[in-house]
Amino acid sequence: MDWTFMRLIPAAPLLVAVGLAVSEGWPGRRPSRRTVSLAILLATGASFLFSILAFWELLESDETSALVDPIATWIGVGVGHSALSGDFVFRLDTLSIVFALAISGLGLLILFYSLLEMRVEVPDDARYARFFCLASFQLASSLILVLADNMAVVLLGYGGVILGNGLLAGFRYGDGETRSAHGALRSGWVGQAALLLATLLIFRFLSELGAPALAIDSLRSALPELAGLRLVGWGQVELSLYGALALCILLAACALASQLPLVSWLPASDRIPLGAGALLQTVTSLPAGAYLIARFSFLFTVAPGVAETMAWLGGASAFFGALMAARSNQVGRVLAWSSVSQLGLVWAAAGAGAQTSAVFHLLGHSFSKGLLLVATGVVVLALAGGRDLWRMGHLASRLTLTRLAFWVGALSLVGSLPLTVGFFSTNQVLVAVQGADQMASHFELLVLLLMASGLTAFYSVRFVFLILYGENRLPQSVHLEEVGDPALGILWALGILATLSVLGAMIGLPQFWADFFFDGDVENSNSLHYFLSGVVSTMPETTLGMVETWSLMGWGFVATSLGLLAALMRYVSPAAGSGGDGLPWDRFLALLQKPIARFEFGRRRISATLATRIESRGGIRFSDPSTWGRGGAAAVQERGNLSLSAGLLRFVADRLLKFAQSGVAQHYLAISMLGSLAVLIYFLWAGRG
Amino acid sequence: MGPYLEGHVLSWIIFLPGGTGLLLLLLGAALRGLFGSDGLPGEVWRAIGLGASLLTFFLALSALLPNFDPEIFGPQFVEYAPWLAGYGAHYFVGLDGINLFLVMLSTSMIPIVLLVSWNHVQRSLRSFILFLLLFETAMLGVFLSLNLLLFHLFWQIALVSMYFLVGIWGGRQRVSAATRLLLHTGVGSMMMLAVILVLYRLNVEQGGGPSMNLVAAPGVPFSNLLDLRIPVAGEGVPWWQSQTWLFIGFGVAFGIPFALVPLHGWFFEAQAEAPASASILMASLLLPMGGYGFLRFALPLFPDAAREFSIPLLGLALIGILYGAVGIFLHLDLRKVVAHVSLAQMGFAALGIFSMTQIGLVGGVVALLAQALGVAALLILLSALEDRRSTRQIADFGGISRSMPLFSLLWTSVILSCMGLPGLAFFVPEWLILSAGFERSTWVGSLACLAGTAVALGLYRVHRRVVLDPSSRAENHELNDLDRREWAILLALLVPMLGIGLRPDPLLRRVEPAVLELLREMDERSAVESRRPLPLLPSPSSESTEVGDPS
Repeated sequence: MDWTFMRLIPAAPLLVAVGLAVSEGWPGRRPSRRTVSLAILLATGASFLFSILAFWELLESDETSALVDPIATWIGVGVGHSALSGDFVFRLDTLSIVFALAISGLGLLILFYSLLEMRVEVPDDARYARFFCLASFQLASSLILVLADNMAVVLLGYGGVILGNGLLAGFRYGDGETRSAHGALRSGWVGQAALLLATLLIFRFLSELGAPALAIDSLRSALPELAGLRLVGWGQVELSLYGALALCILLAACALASQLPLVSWLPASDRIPLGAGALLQTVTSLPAGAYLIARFSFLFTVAPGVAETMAWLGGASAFFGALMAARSNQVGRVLAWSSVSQLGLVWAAAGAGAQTSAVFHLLGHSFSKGLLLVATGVVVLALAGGRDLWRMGHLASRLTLTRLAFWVGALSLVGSLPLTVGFFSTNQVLVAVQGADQMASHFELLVLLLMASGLTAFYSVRFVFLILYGENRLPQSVHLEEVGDPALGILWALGILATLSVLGAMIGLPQFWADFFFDGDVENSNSLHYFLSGVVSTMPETTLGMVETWSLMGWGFVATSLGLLAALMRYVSPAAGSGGDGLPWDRFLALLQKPIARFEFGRRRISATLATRIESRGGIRFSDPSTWGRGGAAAVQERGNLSLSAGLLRFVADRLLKFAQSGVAQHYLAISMLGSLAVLIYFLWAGRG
Repeated sequence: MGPYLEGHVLSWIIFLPGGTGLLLLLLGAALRGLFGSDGLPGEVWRAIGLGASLLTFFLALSALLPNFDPEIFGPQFVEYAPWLAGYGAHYFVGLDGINLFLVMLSTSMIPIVLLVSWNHVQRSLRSFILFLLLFETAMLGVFLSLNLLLFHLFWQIALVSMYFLVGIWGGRQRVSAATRLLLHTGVGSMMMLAVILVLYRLNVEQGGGPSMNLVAAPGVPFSNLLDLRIPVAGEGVPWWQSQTWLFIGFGVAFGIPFALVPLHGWFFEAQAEAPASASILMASLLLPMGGYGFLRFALPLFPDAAREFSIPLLGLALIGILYGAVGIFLHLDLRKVVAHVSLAQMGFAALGIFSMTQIGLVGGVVALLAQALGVAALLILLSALEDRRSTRQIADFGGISRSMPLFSLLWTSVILSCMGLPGLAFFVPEWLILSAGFERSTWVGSLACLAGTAVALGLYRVHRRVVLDPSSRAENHELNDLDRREWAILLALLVPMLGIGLRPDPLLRRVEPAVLELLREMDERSAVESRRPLPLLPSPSSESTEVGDPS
């Protein structure tokens, strides 16, 4: 077959994106909102449909191999051992189809909500069309990335995703928005450079083997021959080719998934439309990052040092993200930090070698975080754009159905209810880390993750309680009576997401739990693991003994309960919201934050995050819209952070380059003649040698 | 094709613009002499000039592109006429994969520049048109000549035309900028002439008679330049007859317009002072002209010396990229920022060319094109901004995205293309060149990769400060968006840019045979055994991408 459904999967949203972009650039009438809505829903729906068809195609074919769809030539030069060819080729295997289904399916649900949000939020048709142009472009790029067969197409998809990140993050062009867009694009470009470097290294060393190819499969099959290649070595410090490649991929994935050290862009973009946030966090950018890790999992198995680094980066992100989420007061920011934290668990699992558990946790996170984001979006819309947690409360009585969504999402996030997907996936991550004997420090990592899950419980409960319960702290302009459940379409989306958050566990139920629930009647219950294990280099499913499992669960339970208890004490008490600085928990958290905040790299990028100030209302605030503009951020920029880079540049310009720029023609002539002379002398000297 | 056109397409293309200019001059003189009038008004000149350059473009588009045979390795559409046979100078032109797209570029740039400067140039409009048309003819001659003396002649005309364009219609410091341009390129031309004289002598000694033709032309009995055996240094010949020194001569001559780093002194000042039209031409045609000189003459004539100097030249290319990156960060004048973008991208082109591998050379040629298109688009957008705000300081801009959405869209796409976003124009050459760099040495490749990232980040910073960042200046909130003329001009540049980015295959397929021919010539003429690993037969494992296809 020379034609498969897979090429149609990204084609539909791409078509819509291009169409909308052209209509923007074309002088004349803009398409109406109805046309845009219809186009985007149809395109995403079609993409989902094609994913299902491609899935079916894949099942029909020989299951062990991948389907390859060569679409067109792209860049190809040379023959033989110096041939560089990167053509538009897609491949479909079990890993890509899982991600394609998730991206297009969840994307459809999120876009349902976005339609409502944009209808309310955006004043004019042009911006409405622009938003959905960006959204569909982002979807298409992620789909291209997960379907890519060779590094050239991976680069193409990656470039699209980071561009989409930047554009979506900067959608509102407000002061804070452009800043977050810059962060997204800059980290993205660092990742892009890393990915490019990986591609070039692959080309170089495969061409040295005499079989240059950029297809991921050929890299995988050539891997044994590349063993032991040392790329850099200074004394004790050595970097093998494996290590370099794995590091590059890791950095690229970190940039997409907003993990340490490139953590800041996602939380900084906390004021973008929640629909866009949901898209980034559950459908496009973050899953794409995790996809990269899973796709190149074979590199991490041969580069254990990098894998351990990844696990620790993930652990640190998990803890740090949870901590920041626990202290953020803006709904978008809480959810963004929470996504960072959850992706940290994914990283930890992948670093521990349990790649399928990582994918499982990612999917579970997408379900529950999508649910939470849409539910939060409903609240924010009802409050006419209010995003301050401290200006909500007492909404449960009005949001009878939406509050269910909040609870399901939050419990899945916490991982404490043994029915939600979050419970099983978090548990699996912890089991994997405990069982990762190849990592010397896996026990310490486990402790860090347990602490993170305690914090997760804390912030989840805090989040839900501050929004739904307690006293009515709504601003004057909003009346509680006017708040209500959303339209039926959104409720449907919420319902589906909630169902997924509960029943999604079925796709990757660990054997241990299957035995526990079904009394050993179900064989191979972790279908995701078996589905993916042919493609993803993963450890065999870790199974601990009965005692170990239960004790691990016990520790998890203790950590979670501590978090829950603290949150309940703090926020469910009648005094909630009325300034609780005196409570020991607050002081403890504040104490923790300060040293950890210093660890953040790229300080300038997140200077606004660090513009901490004591709020009269409650504890330390890490961000406040008023500090974005001319207040904190600008002040920080002017005074402190800018000084290093700007000072350096100024120094170079004033002290070093000034001499070279006198503006007098003779000087220039003299300089360039001297330059020519120098070259001549050098040539003479080099010619001798 | 009519009988006059048959077999003379290249001549028509070369001489149509310049010939029109000279005819208009004669006509004006005749009118003045006969009727005592002022001659033809400038507006007529402009209209006829636009017509002639558009005609040239369509002639190239319809006669060259579809009829070019990518399977032929050597020059096509060859035209030959004896000229000064005693000195070896002949009219000898031909087209191959390397210059095909440069010719297309030259023919398309002049109408674009005329349209861009439509409202700018009021003073001495007639001379302006004349110099533009002469410049086009000269550029086309440079790109198409297969005779070294003919090449040199056109080269001089191009530089002199550029001198007048900068010196008469430029900004406040125009005279000094133009003088610097002329002095630099003049020194280079002198060196080129010296090399030509040495080659002439060698040819007379070895080939029995003078011939400055690069390859065999019909009816010339003497051997051609590419048949010469030029010794490397230390083979018992005078130093000035050795490849090493001859290559240095050509290297300086071509390196100056190529803005190779120690020889780039003229470039920034000239870019900053030139009128918008001349700055576009300088970046999009004059810089590629230098690179083309290396490809056409310096590398095939002196392969051993070229290989010898490969590593220092690669170093210079790297320094060029880095220099450009630093300049992008430092400069506050947007025109100079764009000039540094040119410099960095020319650094990439140089990296590709001096890597002397197949991938690198193809990438170098594509980089010349992609740079020309991208920088021209940037300069046109910049001139649109200048028209509206009469300033080009970065600090005066910001927040334009709100008032000029269409401008911002186009500006963003061009910037992203220059940053090397996959799917847009500059990614293709950058990727090829970086691969070639890695083929040569992991260090060169890695450094170039890092330098490219620095360029991209710098460009993004500029983009941010011009378009995105909020600005307190009220003027920026009420700017008119691009009008249809500007929009159409930019579209004419953006379409080929997208084409290169998404579908470079037709381009690569035409450039590659010419590059292979160049490498073959280099290998054949090389006395030293080639250090470049020759392309082997396609190995069976290169088809392994197909494995797994169920069909």
